[in-house]
Amino acid sequence: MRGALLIAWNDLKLAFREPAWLFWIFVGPLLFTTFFGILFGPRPAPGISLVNHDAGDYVARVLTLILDQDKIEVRSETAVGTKGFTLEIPEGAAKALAAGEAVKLVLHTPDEDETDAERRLRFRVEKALVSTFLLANPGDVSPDTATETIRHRLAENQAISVRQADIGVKRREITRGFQRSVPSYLVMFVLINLLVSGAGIAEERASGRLRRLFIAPLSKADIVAGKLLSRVAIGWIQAAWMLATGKLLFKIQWAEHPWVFLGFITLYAIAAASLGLLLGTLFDDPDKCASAAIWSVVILSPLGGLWWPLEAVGSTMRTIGHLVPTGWAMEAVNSMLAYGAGAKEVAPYAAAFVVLAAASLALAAKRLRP
Amino acid sequence: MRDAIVIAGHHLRRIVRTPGLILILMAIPLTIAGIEYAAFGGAAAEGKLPPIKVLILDEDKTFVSSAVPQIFAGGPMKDFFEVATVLNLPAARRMFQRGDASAVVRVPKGFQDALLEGKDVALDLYKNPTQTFSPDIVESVLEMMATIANGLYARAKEPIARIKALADADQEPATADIAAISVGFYLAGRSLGRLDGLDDLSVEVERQGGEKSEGPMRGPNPSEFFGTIFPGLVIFALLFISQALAFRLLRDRMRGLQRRLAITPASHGSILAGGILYLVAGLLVLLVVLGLIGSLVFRIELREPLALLVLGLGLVAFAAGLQLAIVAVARNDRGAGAVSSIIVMVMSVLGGTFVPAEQYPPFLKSVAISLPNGAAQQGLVDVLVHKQGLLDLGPSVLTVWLWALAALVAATWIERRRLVR
Repeated sequence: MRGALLIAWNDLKLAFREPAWLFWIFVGPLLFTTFFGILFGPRPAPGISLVNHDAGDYVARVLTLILDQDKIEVRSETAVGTKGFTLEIPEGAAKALAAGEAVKLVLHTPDEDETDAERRLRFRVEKALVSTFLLANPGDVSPDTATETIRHRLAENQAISVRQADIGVKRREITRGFQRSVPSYLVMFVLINLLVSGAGIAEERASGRLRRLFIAPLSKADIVAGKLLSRVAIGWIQAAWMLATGKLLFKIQWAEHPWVFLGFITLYAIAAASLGLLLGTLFDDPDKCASAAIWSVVILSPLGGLWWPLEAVGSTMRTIGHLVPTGWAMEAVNSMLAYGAGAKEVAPYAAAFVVLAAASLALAAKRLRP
Repeated sequence: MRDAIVIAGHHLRRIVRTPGLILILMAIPLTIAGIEYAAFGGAAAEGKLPPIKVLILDEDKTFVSSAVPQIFAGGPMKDFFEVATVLNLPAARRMFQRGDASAVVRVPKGFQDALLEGKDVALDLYKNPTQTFSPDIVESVLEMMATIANGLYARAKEPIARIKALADADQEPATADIAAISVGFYLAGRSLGRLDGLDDLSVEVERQGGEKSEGPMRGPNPSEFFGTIFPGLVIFALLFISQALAFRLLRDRMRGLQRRLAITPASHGSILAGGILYLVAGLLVLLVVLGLIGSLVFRIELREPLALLVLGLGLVAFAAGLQLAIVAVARNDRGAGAVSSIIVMVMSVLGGTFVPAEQYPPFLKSVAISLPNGAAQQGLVDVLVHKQGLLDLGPSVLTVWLWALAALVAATWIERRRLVR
């Protein structure tokens, strides 16, 4: 055991002297997490300017009241600007609405391509237009209709409402911004680093260092345990770093059962490290080993839903997502962060990683040669 | 020049003899493109997403509550949603955790009675917190339907209340009551008829430059899909392949091969030019091979060969210059690997390799197209998808070539100084 610890400690020291390792453990994941966290983070609802070409202001006032209920700031303008969103109400809109005739509002957008903000705003405007239409009795559509009357009528028209509720635990929005990017890139970078660490085995074999280790007074079990331990430690340090930065810098929601969460991450790191060791025994060329490791992660990451949410893909790809280790990891991590899942609920995923770790470690130990 | 060609040819022959690493790196963009197509290709071609699964938890079990699933299962919505009933919330939660459902709509007990009594009532919406946009779509549709239902209910409120009052009082309706109820429902029915008018309501989007769109557009065909995603992936792979190719030069130097070359009659300029030629020629060949694979496997239409060549040559010249400069200053392959990987990864993230730069905020978008990989990607997409020619690609070509020249000048200057030393 002492021998294993010595090997692990030595490997760790060597790893932390390498600028590449330091980058991929600490800087790279933070870069990805920050960039994609910002890119896909929630954005405040944009405001909208209203340009009214209609004879009266009935439609403009109803739309403003409804959009205001949906927390969209509405400003009145006289002409379409070049910045921000502008909604044009055409001439004769009120009359057409009252008569049940066609009305086309024009939403001017500053963007060349459709954005998420535009989609959301457009839906709100469409909903407001439908409400305005349903509210528009021929006799009521008049510039003389008081705003208070419209407000009262709107309130009366809310018999059926949609109320958001939580399922199980307090609703946790885990899919937006950092709440998704931190766990996704945690799973991805721990896997990529520990698989690429297999190249270290290939390199040690190529340089003869592994042969020296084998003639030292150490058992093969010591060597395998030492190599595994150092890699698990790297995975754990990286996970701890990402969770700490996620919590402190990006204020992500934390798991209800932190020890279960950390235990699961440790199991995941052990499985990834075992796979890395196995990969190291399959290649003689360290470069090829590293490239094969990257290739494996490039396949497993999108399949497991680390690059994009699996809800966006078809049923076949979703089924595949349930079958790959990255998918198991994401489902378990999501369960813990979003639903406060405990040991019982995470157990099947943990068991899968135990089997994966045991199988790959046994194979790696068998194949490891000087 | 002849010496340079001989040196480059020698390096290239070694690559041909041991192509394993390069083949693995070339497989990366092909694999990602294949997975992206399997994930999104079909949906993109049809212009719609896979159906969103909505669970209905009907605790009321009445005539009115049985109409709620029709919001998602009937009419124009039926292609976008898949509706299933669920017995209770724990069962729904289990499906949420596996990502098998996007939302639960709970119709509470007493829903119909409340409506008959003229009381306000709420449908409970439980959104799957692990999903991104699907629960929001469910919410939007439910809100819209509630808006329409409220509009109709407001008209029918009075006759419904009269019926309820009569039923509660357990009395036979008088002729006047029947007349009033009939008139009420007639007016409500007219409102229902007005629903046809909903089809005539529209919000047209007008973009800067005058482009207009109304409603969802049909997505790209497979050729356009791959034409959009493949260039970024190829550039990403090419940058890593250039790293692997340049490392051979570095290892030659570390093993003393370059010193041996320097004492031959070949000039320093020839040795340097040989290295550059080896990288540029090697990368260009690989780029052409990847392009041809893209054309054969992914049906990308390789049009405007001159434009593709100008962009491709600029890109490989940049990659060669960058990697030569890195290996020229590096002391060993570990240091070079760290620096190169960091630069390539940062450039790829910012340049729009993983997420199209169109989705970036304006500032990041301008950063993306200022980078050589981002500009090259944009240029290639413009040629392959937007069918632009060389003359339309001015900014992209200029950006790529400015970076390429800067990288080659820097690499030549650093390497020459090192060779002289």
